[in-house]
Amino acid sequence: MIFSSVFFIFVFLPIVLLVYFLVPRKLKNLVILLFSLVFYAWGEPVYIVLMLFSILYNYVAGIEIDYHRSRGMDGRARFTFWMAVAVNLGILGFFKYYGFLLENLNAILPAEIPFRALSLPIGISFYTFQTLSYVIDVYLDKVEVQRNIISFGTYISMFPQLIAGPIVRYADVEAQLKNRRVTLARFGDGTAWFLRGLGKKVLLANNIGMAYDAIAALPSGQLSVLTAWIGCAAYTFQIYFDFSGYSDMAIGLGKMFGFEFMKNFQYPYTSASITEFWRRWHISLGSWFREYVYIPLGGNRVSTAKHIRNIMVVWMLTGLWHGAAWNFIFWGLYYGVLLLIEKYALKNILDRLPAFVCRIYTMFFVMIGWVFFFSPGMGSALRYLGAMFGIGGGGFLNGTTVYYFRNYFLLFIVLILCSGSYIYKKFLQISFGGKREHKVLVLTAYLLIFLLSAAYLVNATYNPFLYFRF
Amino acid sequence: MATRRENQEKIDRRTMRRRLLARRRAEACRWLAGIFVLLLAAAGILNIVTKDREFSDSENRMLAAFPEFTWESVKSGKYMSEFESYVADQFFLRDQWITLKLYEDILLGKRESNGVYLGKDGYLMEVPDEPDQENLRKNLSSMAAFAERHPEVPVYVSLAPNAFSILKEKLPEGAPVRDQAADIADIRTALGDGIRYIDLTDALREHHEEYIYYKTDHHWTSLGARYAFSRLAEDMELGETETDYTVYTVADDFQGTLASQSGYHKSRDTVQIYEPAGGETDYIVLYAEEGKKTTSIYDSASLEEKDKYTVFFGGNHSRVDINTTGTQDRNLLLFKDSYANCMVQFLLPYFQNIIMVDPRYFYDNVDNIMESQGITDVLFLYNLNTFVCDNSIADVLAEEEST
Repeated sequence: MIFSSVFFIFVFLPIVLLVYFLVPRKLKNLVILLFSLVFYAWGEPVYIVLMLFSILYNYVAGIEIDYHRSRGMDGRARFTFWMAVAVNLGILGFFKYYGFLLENLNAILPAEIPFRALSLPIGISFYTFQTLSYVIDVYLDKVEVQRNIISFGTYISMFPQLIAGPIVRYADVEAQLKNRRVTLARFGDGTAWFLRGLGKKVLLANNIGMAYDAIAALPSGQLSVLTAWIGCAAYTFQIYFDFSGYSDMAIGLGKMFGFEFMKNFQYPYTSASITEFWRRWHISLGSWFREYVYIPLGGNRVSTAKHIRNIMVVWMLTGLWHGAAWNFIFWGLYYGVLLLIEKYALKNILDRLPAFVCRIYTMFFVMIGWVFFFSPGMGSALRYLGAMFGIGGGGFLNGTTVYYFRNYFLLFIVLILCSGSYIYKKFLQISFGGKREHKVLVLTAYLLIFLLSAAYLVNATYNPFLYFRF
Repeated sequence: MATRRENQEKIDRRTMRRRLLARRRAEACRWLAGIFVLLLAAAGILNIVTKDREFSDSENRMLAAFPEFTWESVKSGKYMSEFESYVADQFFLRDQWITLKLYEDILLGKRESNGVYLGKDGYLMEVPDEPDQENLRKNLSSMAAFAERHPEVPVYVSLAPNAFSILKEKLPEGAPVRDQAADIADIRTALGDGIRYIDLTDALREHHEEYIYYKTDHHWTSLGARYAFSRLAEDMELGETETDYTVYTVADDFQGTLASQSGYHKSRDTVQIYEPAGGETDYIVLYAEEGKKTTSIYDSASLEEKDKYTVFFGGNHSRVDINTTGTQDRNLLLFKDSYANCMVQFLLPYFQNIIMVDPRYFYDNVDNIMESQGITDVLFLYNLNTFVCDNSIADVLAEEEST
């Protein structure tokens, strides 16, 4: 089930809300847990077993680590801990990387090992990272062990952020699992987040996604330089509005049930450097890697050589996290290299350049990066890049370019405006900042988003969700 | 001293303002929360009281019904996906939501909706399908093999180019379409010399300013079929053909499948039938599968239906036999898609028997028909867009395995 569907908004959500607010406080976590399991099983009933196993296993592991450690048996605690890390990563590895690994082994080895690629359990990359954050923090004594299996299950499977994040660290919601309050204003704030996210996803991402899909499907002879750039720009906007829209919906739903999740995006396309871009893009993933990989490796408080190693390790893993394919690994390493170049060579230069030049520089490399990300393989990524730089034979501009330009010109303007913070700040300023407030304006704006999005959902022939694959 | 007090006042003012903003925002949020919950409740009630529909006229398709609950269907996930389709298909005011979505698209400047180009002068045109290369190759080689098995009978293939290539001028500016001339050239090469290909491109293109394709439907009009017919008659050597027809307009408010698919209901089409002025041929139409006999190829009941193009034969059938009272010595086996349905009215006077076979629904052996019906001519008549995606011709033409 995805949030941007008629079924979720008009059937699932009303039922959960109704039940959740009717039951006494003691049962609220249980309600979330049960509905989350239904939500999870909805798309892939078989993998519910995996989810239940993950919950049970990590619940027991947490208690065991705590038990050994509190009795001073550090060796046993360490063993249980590494065992839990291995099991969690093992499951992720098996479902996500097994096919990729064998494919590459088969290419190297003389003998052919037969294998069947498994379908990826939804959200496994997200919830594995959540369980890891719990196990690690329990081991390091940063959080209390969770003895209530319902609270623990709620944390792992919580439907608002189950399938696409934000990756919530256990430490951040520990208190909320025990005690949280929903006020009408908070619920309304959640609604606003949810509707903003819905609009981003349905009105902006889906619409521009059609342009990308159509252009990506063009035969290479018809792909002119400008069309290729339009296609790349379309994807650039699609992935941002798709993913950040989904995160916003998750945050909004969280608020409706009294949870506060961390912000996942902070206008990434306004960044003046690649370093800044990654502080603003998929923040929960970046901070997870910083906390659990980069800093344990020594971070930047080590020799230059080791620092370079640390950066490259983190970014290779980031790439690999996004998908089991060479182009994702390359995409990760590409950013590792760019970040190192910025840190060791470009930093002083970028500081002196005018802001708009820095932004163009950032977006240029971000867009090139997306080509590696959206292409099905390295070969086609290079072909697409070729088309963008005139090595494709499609000419600079043709009739197709004109068609897509005319069809999507207006949408591109809207997308550019919505990528920065100006419009939203202005909206808040006009609504609440003047002598008189304009409540009607606010309500109209949100209801309009709801109405216009609903029209697309009812007629949903096209509703992909990019981060579903991860 | 004074500056300190000023500073303090400034800080106080800021705090006050922040509190004011927060208060206003919280107030608006409370309203939003209330309205949102009310809307969800209202939508829920409307969805429950809205009666389920079986069929959508404007979309021209069956709507999903409430799924049956079985353990198997839940385990496979089928139950869930059917449930989702059910909720979306039976959503209250579905047609109005679809119209709203279309207006949003047009407002954004899009000239395309659900795989349909919104062309000029109210013309709707299919966004071409990507050919199914593998099946296409199979179909073409099975057609060539079929012609080889029946060397005594001429096998004609004629594929009508679609509106998006013949009426290029009506497409949205620069809209990408397939190069159907290139497709035809490839197909001719693959078919080889054993088959006589009849190219309709010029015959249609010559009349591109006339009403030869429906605006709201993916078919050609009877007029388009008529121009194509003159070309066929010439290549198939049908002799002196009729040039004078009485034209009857049987519907003038037709909204075809492209209107349904796109949700764009602005244009209306006219459906016409053609009768040779020189007198009608008498014939009997036998619908093999249905076991129905009539004396007309027109189905007037269809004019009450949504899809008025089905006035020709009432739509597609696996096999239709037409026996005329004429004395011609030629019998035609016609492999066809729906484009051929309105062509038959022109072919009638020139054959003793016409056997229409639609491979998509036909599972018998065609070599038997060749013999038992004394077939003298074989014609494959399709529109190109359907033909390149067809996956049934090869199966129907397959040689019966000797047992």
